[in-house]
Amino acid sequence: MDEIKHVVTGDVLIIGSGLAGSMAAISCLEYGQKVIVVNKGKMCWSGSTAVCGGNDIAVCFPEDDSALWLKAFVESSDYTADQNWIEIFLKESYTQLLKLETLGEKHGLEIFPKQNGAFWRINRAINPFRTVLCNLYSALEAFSKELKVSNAVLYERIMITKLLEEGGKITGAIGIHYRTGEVYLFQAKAVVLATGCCTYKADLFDVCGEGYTMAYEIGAKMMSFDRGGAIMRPKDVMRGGLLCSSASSSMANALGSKLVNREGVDIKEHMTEEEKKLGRVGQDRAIQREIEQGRGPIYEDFINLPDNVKTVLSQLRCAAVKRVQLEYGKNPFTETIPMEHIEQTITPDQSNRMGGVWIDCTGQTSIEGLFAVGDASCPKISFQHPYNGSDLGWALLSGGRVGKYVAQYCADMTMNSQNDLNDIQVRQELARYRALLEKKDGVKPDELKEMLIQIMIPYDIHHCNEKAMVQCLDKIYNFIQQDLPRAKAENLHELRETLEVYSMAHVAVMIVSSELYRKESRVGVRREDYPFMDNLHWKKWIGFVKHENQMCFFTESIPENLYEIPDEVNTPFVTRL
Amino acid sequence: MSIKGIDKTLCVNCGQCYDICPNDVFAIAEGKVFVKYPEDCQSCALCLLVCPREACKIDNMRPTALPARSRT
Repeated sequence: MDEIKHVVTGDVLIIGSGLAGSMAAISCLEYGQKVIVVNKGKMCWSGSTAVCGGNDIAVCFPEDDSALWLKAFVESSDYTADQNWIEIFLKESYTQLLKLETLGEKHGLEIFPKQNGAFWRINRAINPFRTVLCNLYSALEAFSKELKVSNAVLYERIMITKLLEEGGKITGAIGIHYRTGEVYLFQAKAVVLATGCCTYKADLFDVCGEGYTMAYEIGAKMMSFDRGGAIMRPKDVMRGGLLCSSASSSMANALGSKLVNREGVDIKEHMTEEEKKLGRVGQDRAIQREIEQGRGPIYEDFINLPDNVKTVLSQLRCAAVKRVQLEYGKNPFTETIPMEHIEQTITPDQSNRMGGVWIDCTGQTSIEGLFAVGDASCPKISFQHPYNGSDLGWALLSGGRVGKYVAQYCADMTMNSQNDLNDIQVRQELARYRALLEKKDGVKPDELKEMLIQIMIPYDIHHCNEKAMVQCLDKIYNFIQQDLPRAKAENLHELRETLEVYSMAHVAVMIVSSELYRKESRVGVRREDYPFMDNLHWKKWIGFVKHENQMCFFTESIPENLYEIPDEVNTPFVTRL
Repeated sequence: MSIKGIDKTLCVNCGQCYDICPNDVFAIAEGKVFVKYPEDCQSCALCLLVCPREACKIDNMRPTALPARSRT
């Protein structure tokens, strides 16, 4: 812990190897870069992608109606979607899909299931377009195989904790192997952040916003944390359905599965027309009502699906299917399985709708040489509701195209040799690790995590006002100033967890502060003091940077070069909560 | 609970679960795999996917229940 054990040098350091990071790695390798990939878990097998397993991805096919996609993206984001990136998505997403398909074929893996020889596309309840089924387990297996035979240098089980920069230019990163305690200094001309989003350990336990926090700390421009994401989740179980989440349940519904109550009645028969338009959100409400009115438990019914649909679902959700088979001793494709979907709660949980580290159209952030892809970046193409495939579509697109721009950047760069500023930053980080591990008394990370969840979950962004938002922000600051300094890590595992809680708390500040700054309601934010969407004064994105240790906010007008946004106060919401 | 344990009558201590777990739930001591941090299990069931003997016992329960909040 007193020294850097390993110094690793390359052209580009990619932090994270989920869908976005792995696509970025492959993309950089194609352009001849010397690539280093660092992952917090097993290479390719951690973060959102690995848990998602199998889902559907938003990809615009050549035969699709581009105008329909554009209208859907712009309107259903309450006009906040980046139209420049939508244009890129419409032109390039299919190319990235084909690239991934070819990679799978190279390694004997079918990443995109086929129906009648064609890509299998489905209509989700609220999507006006079709998404394409994707077996992410196969994708991750293909990435893993490809990276192992490439000349990329791979490191796993390393948590990157600090980005290194000098004079506004990235120089590398420092991280710790949380099983061995060895500290690594990575030096690179460019860094690609593929670190995912931030949850509050309500669903994904290893996705804690470290990329956001690290980028903010070195002065990167951050955008759009004011989108007010909140999701209903079961209080007592991890995921309210066989297929790992009710989101995937809605994917299965699009393939023909049913949710039935104790009387065997399809719950759709008790849903309002409004609820049917809300997709997964409406489904969650209907499930809750069935249970409250004594018609629970709810069962997932895959029994009458065609054989090919059963086969593809069993592949896409193989981990969950295996768990259910072992836990219940039942085959979900021949017997109904009760959904463990008891009392609901609402968690702040933002993936594709969350903001991130601002990027330009090449994927570069405001820090020279620092790029961001996937959920770590902003803007993204995104919808009002999660899991409509746009988060995965964004990861595929942004990761797949970044290599060209990283290569262009690196071509003009020479490697910085290790310098005094690097030494200072490195020593500070080593001191931080030591301080946490050597403390005699303190608060364990599990306890800190619970404190933070107790602050964040009661914060109701769907019904808030300035007083409530300020109170929440005060509680978060109090947690950061009073409780976090008491953190103690008994071992390396707890060191990782403590640093994750640190990150979650700072992202919480980003979110609530951004939401407070916006004096209107939009997307997932519904303010009682500003109940309307005001396109006359607030057709803007909200961003912030760290300046002299303060979080300084600014606004930027939302470009409307492709789709004109109505200039009116009290614009009707397109997003529905 | 999430991960309830490893069935030692089935487990061959291959370490595949330790290798794949995103949250470092497992540990190995004296060549034997055990569950060290069950509270960090997110029921992703990746360990079940790789276990050659289906020895990991997992349910869907949260390690700790979330606070309740209703949609008003």
